[in-house]
Amino acid sequence: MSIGPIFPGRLPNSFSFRRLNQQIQNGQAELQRIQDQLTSGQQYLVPSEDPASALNTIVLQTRLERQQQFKANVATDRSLLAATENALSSVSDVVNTAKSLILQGIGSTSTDAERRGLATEVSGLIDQVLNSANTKFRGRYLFAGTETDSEPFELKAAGNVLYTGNAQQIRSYIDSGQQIVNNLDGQSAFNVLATVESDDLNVAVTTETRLANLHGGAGFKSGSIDVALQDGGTVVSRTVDLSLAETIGDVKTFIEGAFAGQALTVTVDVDPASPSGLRLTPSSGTVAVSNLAGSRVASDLGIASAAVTQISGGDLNPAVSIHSRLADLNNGAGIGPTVGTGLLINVGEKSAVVDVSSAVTVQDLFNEIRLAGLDLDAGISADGTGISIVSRLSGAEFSIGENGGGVATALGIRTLTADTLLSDLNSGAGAQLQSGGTLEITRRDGSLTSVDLSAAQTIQDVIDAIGSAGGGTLTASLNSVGNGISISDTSGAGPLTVAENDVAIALGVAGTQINPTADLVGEDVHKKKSDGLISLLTSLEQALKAGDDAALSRINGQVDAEADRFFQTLGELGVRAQTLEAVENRLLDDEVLINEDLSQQFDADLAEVLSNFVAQQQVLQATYQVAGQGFQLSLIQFL
Amino acid sequence: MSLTAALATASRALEVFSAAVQVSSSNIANANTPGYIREELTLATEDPYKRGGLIVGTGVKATAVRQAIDQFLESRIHLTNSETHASSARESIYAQLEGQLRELGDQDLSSRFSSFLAAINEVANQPEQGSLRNSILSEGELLVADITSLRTRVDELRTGQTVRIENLVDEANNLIDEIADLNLKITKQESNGLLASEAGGLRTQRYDALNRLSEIIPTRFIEQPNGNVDVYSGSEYVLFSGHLQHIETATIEDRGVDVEVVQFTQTHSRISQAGGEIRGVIEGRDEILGGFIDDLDQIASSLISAVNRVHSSGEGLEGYSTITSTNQVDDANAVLSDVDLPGSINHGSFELKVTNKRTGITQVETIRIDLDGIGGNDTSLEDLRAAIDSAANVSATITTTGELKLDADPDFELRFADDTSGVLAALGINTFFTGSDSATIGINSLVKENQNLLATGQGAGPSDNRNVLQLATALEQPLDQLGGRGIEEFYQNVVSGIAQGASAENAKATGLEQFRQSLLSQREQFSGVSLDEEAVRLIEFQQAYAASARVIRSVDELFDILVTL
Repeated sequence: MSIGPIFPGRLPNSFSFRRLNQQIQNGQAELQRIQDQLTSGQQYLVPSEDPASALNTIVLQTRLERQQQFKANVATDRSLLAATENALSSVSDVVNTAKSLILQGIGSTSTDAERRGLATEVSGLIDQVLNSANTKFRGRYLFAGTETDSEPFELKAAGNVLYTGNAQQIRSYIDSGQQIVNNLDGQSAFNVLATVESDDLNVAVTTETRLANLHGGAGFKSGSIDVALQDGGTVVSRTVDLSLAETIGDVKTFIEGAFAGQALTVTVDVDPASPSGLRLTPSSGTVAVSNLAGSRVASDLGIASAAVTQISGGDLNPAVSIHSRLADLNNGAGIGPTVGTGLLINVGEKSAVVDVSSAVTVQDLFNEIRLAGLDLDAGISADGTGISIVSRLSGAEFSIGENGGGVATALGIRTLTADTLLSDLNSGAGAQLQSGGTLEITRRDGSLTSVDLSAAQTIQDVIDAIGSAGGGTLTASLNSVGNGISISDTSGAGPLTVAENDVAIALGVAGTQINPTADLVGEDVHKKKSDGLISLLTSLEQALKAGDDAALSRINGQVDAEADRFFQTLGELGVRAQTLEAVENRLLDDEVLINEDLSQQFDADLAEVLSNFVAQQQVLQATYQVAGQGFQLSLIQFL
Repeated sequence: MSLTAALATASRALEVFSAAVQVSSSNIANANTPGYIREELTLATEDPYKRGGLIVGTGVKATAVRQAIDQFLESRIHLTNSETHASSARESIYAQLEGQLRELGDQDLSSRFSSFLAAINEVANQPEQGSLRNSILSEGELLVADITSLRTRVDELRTGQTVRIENLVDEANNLIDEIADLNLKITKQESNGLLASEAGGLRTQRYDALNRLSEIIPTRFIEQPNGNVDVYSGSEYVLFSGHLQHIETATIEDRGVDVEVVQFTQTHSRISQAGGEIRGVIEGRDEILGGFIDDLDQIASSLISAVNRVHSSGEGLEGYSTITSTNQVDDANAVLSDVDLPGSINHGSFELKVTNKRTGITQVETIRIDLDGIGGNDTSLEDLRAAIDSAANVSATITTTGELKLDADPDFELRFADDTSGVLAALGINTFFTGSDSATIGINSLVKENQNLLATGQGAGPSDNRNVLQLATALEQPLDQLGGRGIEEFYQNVVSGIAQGASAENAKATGLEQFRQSLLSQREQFSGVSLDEEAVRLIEFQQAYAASARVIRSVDELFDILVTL
C-alpha cells in the first residue's frame, strides 16, 4: 500500500507517527509475503492474489491429474496386452508344430502306429492351446470377453470345447476422447464359434419402430420438417418439430397433432403397399413435405416431396431389433405357420426341436433358442438387418433345419438351402462335380436314370436336374425335416436307389428306400463348424487316427488359413501395443511440459524472491534508522 | 485613571495568556489521544473606549476555545468510511470463502473430482477387479462428503455473519444513543458559552462516535446552530431534533439457512444500500457466499443428473429383486413432466429387463414415457406404474409416501437399460447419487450396501465396462445446464470467478482505504497536535506573559512614584 501525499501546512507529530506506523506495517507485510513465498515455494497462497495465473494453475493441475490417470490407464493396458501377447505366443508355436505334424502324417510314408503317435502329440497341442486360452492374469481370464470370472474354455465330450465367454471388448481411456481395447476375446483370438447369419430380414416399419433403427440401424439426426397442406385457396403449413420423436408412432403423432383442428388435416400411416415406408394423406387437396434449410430430416424419413395428393414414402429399411415382431419380418409376410413346426437344430450328437409357436418377438425367438440346451446363443447380426445363431461348442458340427415347416428358411438361418453352393458342401470339401459327375438312380419301376450334374452349381440346380431327368415321376426337394435332399419317385412300387458314387455321397443322397410311400431322404451335407485352431486340432487328431489323407490335406489348408487369421490378430495386438507406447511417450512429454508450465505459473522463483527479501529488509532497516533518529528532534528539548 | 486601566488591561492579558498556556498544555497532554482535535484559543482585542479626543484600546480578550476541525473533510471521511468498510467486509468474506475452497492444494474439490474420475477409469481398465468397484464408491463418498462439507462450511460462514451483524447493530445503537446524549450535554454546556465548539472534549467524543457510526452504516450529519447534530442514513433519519431511531435485525430464510437482515426500528425499512460494514457483510453473505452456494448447487445437481442418467441405464453384477424410487411424487396422476423432481423427464422410453435367475433368460420390455403433450395421454406416475405392472413377472406399486416400488417375482430380478427419457434418474431408480443439490447430495444406500449394484456394464457379463466408460465420458462432457461447460470446467470458472472477485474487491478495498487514509492524514494534518507548534506557542505566550507582568511592574513603579510624591 502506498502512502498518501502530504498537504502543505502544518505537520503534527501524530501525523508523522501515523505515517511511520503505516510505512513500517507496509514494509513488514511485504516482508511477510516474501517469507510466505519462500516457505511455501509458491508465488501466491490464494487464487485472488493472481487470478489469471491461478486459473491457469488450477487448469494445469487438473490436466496433470488427468494426465497421470491416463498414464496409469496406459500402464494397465500395456500390462494386460503384454500378458495377452505372451499367452498367444505359445499358441503360435502350436500352429507351427501342427503344420509339421500334418506334413509328417500325410501320405503313405508313415505307419499307423506313427500316426497314432502324432495324434497323441496333437492332443498335447490341444491341451497347450486350452492352457493358453484359459490364461488368468490380474484376476482376469484374458480370453473370456467380458465374462472374465470363469474359465472361458471347457473341454467337453468328443474333444469338443465349449466357449463360455463372449465377444465383448473392454475399452479404456488413454487420452481425452481416445480409447483402446485392452482385451482380446476368445472368438477373435481362437475363432471358436460357429455362426449362422441370416440375410436382410426386411422387417416392416410399424408405429413401434424406433427412428434410431432406421436405415439399417444407422438412424439419423432428428429435427424439424416443413409440412404444407393445400386445397384450392386454403393453405395450412406447419413446421413440425420431431426432435423429441423416438418412434415412427411419435412421428405420426407429432405431424398429425400439428394440424389437429385446422381447416386441413393430414393422416400419417405406414404404407400398406410397401410396409417399410410412411404415407401422408391430406384430408383433401395436396400435401408437400420439405427439409428445413441445412437439415435432412424429411429426406431421411423418406417423405420429402413436392405437393401431391398423397405421399408414399421411401423404404426406411429398419434394422431388426429384439422387439421386432416375427410377423413383421419379410416385409410383413412373417415366418409362416409355427404351430407343429419349428426349428430342428443339431449340435454335435445332440439335436433339439425349437418350438417358436409362442414366440411373438425376435427376443422370444432368441430366448427359445437359448433354452434349447444346445449351448447356442442368438443375436442381431453384425449389420443389424438380420439375426445370427451361434454355437459355442467348438469342434462340433452345427446345423439348423426345418421341422416340417418353413420357419428356418423364413428366418434365413437354414444351414442348407436351395441356394447353397455345391462347392461349400462337406466342410468345404465340396461335391466333386467337375469331372462330369452323374447320379445313377435305380427307379422304383426298375429303370435306370442318369442325372448329369456337371453344370450344377447349387443345390437347386441338383434338384432341378433330378426333376428334369426323371420325366415327371422323379422329383427332388429339400428335406421337410432337417437338412438334405429328398428324392421321390412314383414310377412304381419297387425300391428307389441312388448308387453310391462320389457325387451321391457328397450330396448325401446315396442309399435305398424300400418303402414305396416314403422318399429317399438324404443326409445333411452342409454342417457348420468352427474354423478355429481348437476345432481344427480336434479334426486333425481324428484324421491322424483314421489315416484319412484327404481330410489331412483339407485340414492342412484350413490350418494355413487359420494361421493367417491368427497371425493377423497377433499383428493387430502388436499395433495396439505400439499405439500405447506412442501414447505413453506423448503423455510423458506432455507431463514434462505441463509441469514446466505449472512451475512457471505457480512456483516461486527462489533467486528473485531472495533478492526481493534482501532489498525489502534493507528498506525496512533504513526506515527504522531514519525514524529513530528523525524523531529525536523536538523543540520541547530546547524549552 | 489610565494607570489603573493599564493595570487592568495587563492583568486581563495575564489571565488570557495563562489560559492560552492551559490550552497548549491540554493539546500537549492529548497529543496521543486518538481522534483528539487540537484546540486553539481565539484572541480578540477588547472593545476600546473614548476618553476625550482619544480612543483607547483596553487590551486582549479570549473569545473562544475553538476546535481546529474541517467539517467538509469530516463528511467526506464519513462517506469514505462507509464505502471502505463495506468493501473490506466483502473482502474479508471473499478471503473466508477462498480459505474454505482450499484450491491450489491437493485437498480441494477439483482434486477430489479428479480422484472420482480416476476411480471410474480404474474400473473401466480392469472391470474384473472387485476392489476397484469399491473405490468408485469410496471416492464417490469422499466427493459427496467434500461437497456437503463445503456447503456446510459456507452455510456456517453465512450464519456466522449473524453474530457480526448483531454486534454491529448493537454498536451502532450504542453510538446513536451516545450521540444523542452528547448532543444534550454539548448544547447545555455551550448555551451560556460565547461561541460554538466550546465543549471541545465532548465534541471530540461526538466526532469519534459519528466517525465510527459512519463505518457501520452510511451516515450524513448536519450541525444545527445550537450545537445539535442531526444524523441521517440514506433517506431515513437516525437523529432528528431530539427524535432518534435505532436499527434492528430481522430473520429471513435464504438458501436453506436463517439469515439476518437489518432495518430501522420505526419505519421498518431496510438500511441503505450505499455502504457501511453491515451492508458489506450482508452483501458478502448474500451475493458472494449465496452466489457460491447457487453455483455449488448447480455443480451438485449437474453431477447428480449426469451420473444418474448414465448409471440408471446400466446394470451391475446382479439385478434388483425389489427396488423403491428414492424420490417421491406427490400426485401420482400428474403428468410426469410437471412433477417436481431432481432432473428433467422428457418424451422417450426405457427398457426393463426381467431375468429368470434359474434359466438365465431375460425378457426385455420397452416402457414408453409419452410426454409429447399431444392427445391428452401423457404419462403420469400411475401410468408408468401400470405399464411396468403389466410386464410379466414384475409388479409395481406406488407407496403411500409417493415412491414407485417395483418387485420381481421370486427367482426373477430386474435391470434397466437405454433410458432416453431420464425418468429413472429423476425418480431415483437404479441411481448412484441421491438428492438434488449440494445440501442433499448422497450416495444411494442400495449401491453403498451392495456394490454389485454399481452399474458398470450394459448386460454383457461381469467385465462389461461400457457403462462405466460412459460415466467417465459423461463427467467430462459439456452440459447444457452449465452453459455448455463440463462440470470440472464450470467449477474452475467458479473458483476463478471468486478469485477475480476477491482480487477486484481487494483492489477496491485497498484503493478506498488509501483514499480514506489520505483523508485521515489531511484531518490529522489539520487537527492533530504538533508538539513543536505547541512549544512555539508556549514560548510565544511565555514571552507575552512576561511582558504583561513587566507592564504591571512598570505601572506599580509609576504608582510608587505617585504615592511618594
